[in-house]
Amino acid sequence: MSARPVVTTSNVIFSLKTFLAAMLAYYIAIRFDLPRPFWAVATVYIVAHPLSGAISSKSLYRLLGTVAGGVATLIMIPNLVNEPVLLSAAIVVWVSGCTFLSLLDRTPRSYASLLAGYTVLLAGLPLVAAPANTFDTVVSRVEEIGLAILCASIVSHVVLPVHVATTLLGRIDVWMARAQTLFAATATAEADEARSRAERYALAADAVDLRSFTAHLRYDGSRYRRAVSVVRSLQHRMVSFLPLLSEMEDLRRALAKLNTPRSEQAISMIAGVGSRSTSAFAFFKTRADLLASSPVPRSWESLLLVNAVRNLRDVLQVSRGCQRLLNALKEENAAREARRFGSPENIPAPHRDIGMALLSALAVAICLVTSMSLWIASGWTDGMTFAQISGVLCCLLSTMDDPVPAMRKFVHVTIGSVIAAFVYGSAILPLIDGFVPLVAALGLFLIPAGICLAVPSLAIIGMGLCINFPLLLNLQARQSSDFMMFANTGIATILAMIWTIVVCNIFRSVRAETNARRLFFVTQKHVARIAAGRHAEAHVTLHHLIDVAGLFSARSAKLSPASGASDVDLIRDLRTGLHITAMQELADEVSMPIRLKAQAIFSGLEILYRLAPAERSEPLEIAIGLLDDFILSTADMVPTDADTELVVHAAGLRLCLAPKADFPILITPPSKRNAA
Amino acid sequence: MTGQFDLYGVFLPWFSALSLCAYGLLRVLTSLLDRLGLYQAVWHRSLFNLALYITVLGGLSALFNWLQT
Repeated sequence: MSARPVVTTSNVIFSLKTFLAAMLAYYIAIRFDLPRPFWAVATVYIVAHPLSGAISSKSLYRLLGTVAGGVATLIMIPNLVNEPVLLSAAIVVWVSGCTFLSLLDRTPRSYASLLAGYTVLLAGLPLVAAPANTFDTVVSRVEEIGLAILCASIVSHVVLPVHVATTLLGRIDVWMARAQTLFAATATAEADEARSRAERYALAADAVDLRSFTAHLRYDGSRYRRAVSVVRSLQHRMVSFLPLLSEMEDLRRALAKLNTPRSEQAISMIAGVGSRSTSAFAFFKTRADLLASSPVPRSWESLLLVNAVRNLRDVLQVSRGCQRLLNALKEENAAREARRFGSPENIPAPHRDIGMALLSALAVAICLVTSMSLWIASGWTDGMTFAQISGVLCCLLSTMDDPVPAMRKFVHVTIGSVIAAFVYGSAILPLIDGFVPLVAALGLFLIPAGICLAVPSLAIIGMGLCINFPLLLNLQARQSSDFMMFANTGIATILAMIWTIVVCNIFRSVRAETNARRLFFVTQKHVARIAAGRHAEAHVTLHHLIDVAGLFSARSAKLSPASGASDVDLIRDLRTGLHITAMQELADEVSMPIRLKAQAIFSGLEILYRLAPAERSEPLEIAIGLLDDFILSTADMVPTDADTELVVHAAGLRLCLAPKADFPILITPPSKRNAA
Repeated sequence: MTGQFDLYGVFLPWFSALSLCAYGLLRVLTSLLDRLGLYQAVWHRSLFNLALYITVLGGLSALFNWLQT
């Protein structure tokens, strides 16, 4: 963790803005005589985000979720209040169902269904004792949340706004610079394999993160909000950069192993392009033509050269495309450029892990069932708080692999905010009358705590302090201090957290390794399906597998070297998939003998990718044998253009499957080959 | 301007209906102004929009009061 300063100008401004929004919401809530104004304060802190567009989108989804949850409460509680068991079952099913849905959607939109789930807990459970005023309570809860959301978005947009677009462009710039550095490093020197792979994973993770970040752009108050399609097509190009870099590394190694004059020429060409970057395009093109039009018949060497030339051409095209789009974004009228550059291809939905989502939903259900039965069985009035908080926490932390460490931290912070709330409630607030002194007193705590919210590594501390504090303080229109009530609430809150930790520890915590292995198999199955001819679109493969590789990246850092999953290269598998797709597209145009051989290779690869890594050595040898035979046997045929291209892709495919193997040698003697 | 109207048994203040109308009007106005290119000359887009919204809402409620009398 870097030791960045916590108290920076921007963080302080963010904290002051959030406090201003919270107090505005609190003031209006008191003036309108809403029953629980502290909900508005807590909600402002829940939606708080340093970027103004992000607040608007978060708020919109939160409002939608709250309204949906309110409607569900209105339907469930009055109808089932006389049957506590049925009501509990309905609530459990609703909440865990909503959690499940929200986990399937990895965009900011998932917030809506998550909220729909736990609004029922927050607004509905207190009504069980007094179902007569269900409607009023639900309406006032929606009003409080809506008010808080309006205040938060207006303040963040009007007072010193920080735009999503500026941050996004900055992050894209950083990404491009990192990718260019990696490109130069890969092109000019023999790279350390593990390190460049880790760097590619990190870039994939960043690209995935940027993609969900772009969803906020539409709600931004800046002129860039029309440019979403430009950003999307820029991201498409960024993502296609990664497999090209991986291929370049392998090509370079294979060429170096070949050690012929022409391969050395090619290596120096790659290095030249790498060090001189895009400006060397003209220079590169002449060299490329020279190499491609060599009179030597197709050999492994010339196939590698053609692949290298194709790879370099693609790299340059992609990086020029990125640069052009980036410039278009930075120019004044992005809206006009959007029409010109708007990518027609839609980006497929991100990877969904149904199994993990089910497990999380199950953990939420178990947590709720146990805590609600404790509440019903014990008859403790604050058992309601216990059930509420444990359910909400379970929902909130359901996206993490292992929520327990974060939750432990949260417990400590909550104990801290309980103490602070106790001091405030018993010593400070009774002395205060009037709104302005109250604001001053609250600011003393909330402004420093709000600074933590702006720092990602401290965000969970900030959340624990800022959200729990107003809720525990029960900031009502008329202050009342009742020690018994306060102690009950505090104890219930902390017990709920401990219970959530216990439940998550038993049912939910998954080691990073398990998830990494699951992601690995997702990739393998995808490639197998491509080989079976059931995934025809290259850009779907590209986005899906880069997405998976990005998810994998966060987990691969935690993998132990002994686990066997740390040595896989998902981006290489992605390249395999792309080459197979390209070959399948060409397969319809080539001559019959080549097509038959290609079909045999596809089915061999399908079997290979359906096997576990440990069982692969023999099928891998067979598949490579088939490929070698295919590559070498076509040398003496009269080729068409499509044939040549197919063989070039086959050579690329062989490089993916066996990056370190020697160049192919003919296993079957020519006589047998002619017979076949 | 006080008073409520009855929406299928739910009483809503007139002001909330007016503020919704004003928001709709604001959306129309901003897209018109954007097309005219006025925002090139605006320093703080969101602040401008907020001020415009308050103006529209004030105008609407004045109109409403005038119609009622």
